[in-house]
Amino acid sequence: MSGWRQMLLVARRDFVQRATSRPFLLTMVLVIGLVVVAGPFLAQLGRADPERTVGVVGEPSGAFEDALAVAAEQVELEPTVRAFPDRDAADAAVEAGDVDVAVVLEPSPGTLVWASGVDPRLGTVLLAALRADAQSQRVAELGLSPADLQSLVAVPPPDDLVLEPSDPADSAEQAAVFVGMLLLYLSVVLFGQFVMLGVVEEKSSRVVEVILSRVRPYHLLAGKVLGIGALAVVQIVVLAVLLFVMATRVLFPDQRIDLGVGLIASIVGWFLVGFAFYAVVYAALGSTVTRQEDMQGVAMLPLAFILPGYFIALFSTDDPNGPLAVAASLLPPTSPFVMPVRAAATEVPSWQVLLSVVLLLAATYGVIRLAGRIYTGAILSIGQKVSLRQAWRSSSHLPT
Amino acid sequence: MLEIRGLTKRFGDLTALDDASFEARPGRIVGFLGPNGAGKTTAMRAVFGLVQPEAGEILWQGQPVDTTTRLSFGYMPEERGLYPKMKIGDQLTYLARLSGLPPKRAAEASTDWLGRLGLADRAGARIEQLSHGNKQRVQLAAALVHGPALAVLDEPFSGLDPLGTDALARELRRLAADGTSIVFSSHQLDLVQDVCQDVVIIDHGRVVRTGTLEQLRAGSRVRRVEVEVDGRRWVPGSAELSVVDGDRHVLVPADTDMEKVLAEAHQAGTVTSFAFEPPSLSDLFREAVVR
Repeated sequence: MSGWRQMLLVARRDFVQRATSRPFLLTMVLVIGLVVVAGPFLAQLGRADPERTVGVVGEPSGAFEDALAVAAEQVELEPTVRAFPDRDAADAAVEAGDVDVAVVLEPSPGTLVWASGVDPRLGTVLLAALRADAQSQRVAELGLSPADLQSLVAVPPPDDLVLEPSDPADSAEQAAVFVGMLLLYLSVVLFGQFVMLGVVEEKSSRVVEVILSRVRPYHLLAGKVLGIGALAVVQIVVLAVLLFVMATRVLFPDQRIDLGVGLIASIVGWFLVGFAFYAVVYAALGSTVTRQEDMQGVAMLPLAFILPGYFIALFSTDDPNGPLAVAASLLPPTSPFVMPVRAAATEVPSWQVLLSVVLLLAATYGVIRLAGRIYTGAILSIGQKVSLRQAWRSSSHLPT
Repeated sequence: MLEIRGLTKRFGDLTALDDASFEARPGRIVGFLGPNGAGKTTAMRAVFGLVQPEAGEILWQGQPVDTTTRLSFGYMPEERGLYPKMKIGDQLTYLARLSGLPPKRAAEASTDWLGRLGLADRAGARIEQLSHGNKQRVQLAAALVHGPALAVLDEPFSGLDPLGTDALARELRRLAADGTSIVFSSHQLDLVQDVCQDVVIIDHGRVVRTGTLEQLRAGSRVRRVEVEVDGRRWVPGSAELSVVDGDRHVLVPADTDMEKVLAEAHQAGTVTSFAFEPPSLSDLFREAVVR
């Protein structure tokens, strides 16, 4: 039986046991429920209603209605006009919410009656319509025809020139990376704690000595990270598929969202190395405590690296080539969060990506060696909480 | 055969093992005795690489023990524990597989051991649902499920009732009869005397006695005298008393003339019971372990 086979056995046991455990199933049901329920709700919020009802008191000219239609189209509103016999009836309709605004044409320059606040888009549209109405009256008073007015004031519309047309695929890519980072962040914290819980459970149930009489600590640790990491990947894939379906079918059914295989591979790849790094950190910390009650305290420690990484990643979208973003994307422990975001936001030189990956892998190897040693030293000191220093010392004789 | 040669291990100022040597032969049961903190657990852990000694070597069939050889060993640690939420059948299968058994044989060994320990119908139970005695049985099965050539059991009898003790003793004898080398530690010396053939006594990290039970008893410097005269306990006045333990045993130097003691007893009255014999394991232990 090679160490690799034992590692796979450990991984399989941890995967199956954790996957069928109540906390995991509960989290999974909760998160899936949240996505399924929140998606359509967000879609409703995001989809603004273009319809408006405008109450009018007085006789509007043809120019008013024409200008209203033209101006409304520019800001994507669809107003309908209702006539009211007097101001009181119009006010009552506004208060009752039957109309969004009442336009009282007399006395000039007119009054707009709003229920609780000004709707700026509708206000602008009405201003244009009122102006057109007034102009047509003045023109009639001056004895000119509408054609004369046109020749006097008509200004041809300017040409639109777009210097750098935005590619809808770019924003989709950034959104995907963002959702990916959020998933990475949540998964690292959640599954890192599952690894820690697994270590603490083995210590508190004292089964660890039975296992370590058969398996080397390094392989036990690696198997645990592998098994729980595989579970994390399963959860991420399920969630990502769910989110993708939600985004393409419910939230933005009209937009074509096309994500490259390379992008998905990059998110998953960064997740794997990032998770491996943090999972062994969690495992090492877990091996210093015996009871689950003591776990909360040390479980907070990795957040001191994870949270800054997450926030730097957030800010990197605005300034992907700033010194902080570049440094944080190259160096562990923040690189698994920051580099994918930078890579989606800008062209990152390939040497930087390579350097970042190499540094992270080297750090992961270092932490695995360190964690293996702390793990071995601390895990046999059953019954007491062990400081990292004590664990390191008591393990100094042990092979890692 | 397991050979432990000159094992030394220090934890800071504490010397847990001091040039300790002993061996465990195939088909024989070694009782590994010593006061608390004498170094028994450290020596057992060293066999499984859980403690790395500063000096000495551990040999199996003449070769240094490594990770692969250890897979043919079985260990029952002093700190008992199994996965609380895993079915015991699955758990035993898992442990057998970790020790290198192929899937089918591991499952068979698990079923076989549960049947042997009277737990055939509990394979689907979790360890937390079992009684103390049954937990202990599963723990023993966890150490032996892969059919090890060497079984190292740290305090396997602790916490067992007399029936459980008998069952475990029977199981150990059966394993030894199959050729397994067995080393077990215990504080219940009467029990050890009944179960083991070889004895190792360790004190302050040093092996102070080692050999077969008969050798140790024969080699002792004392003899145990138990005499009743007229149905009442009688203590010889002429003999040089080595130890009087409570009012039960009288130990005299081994070269004491038995006939003289008997003659003296006759003078005191009618001898109703007379015993002059090598010391018990408890006596040997007290003799060896200087406090």
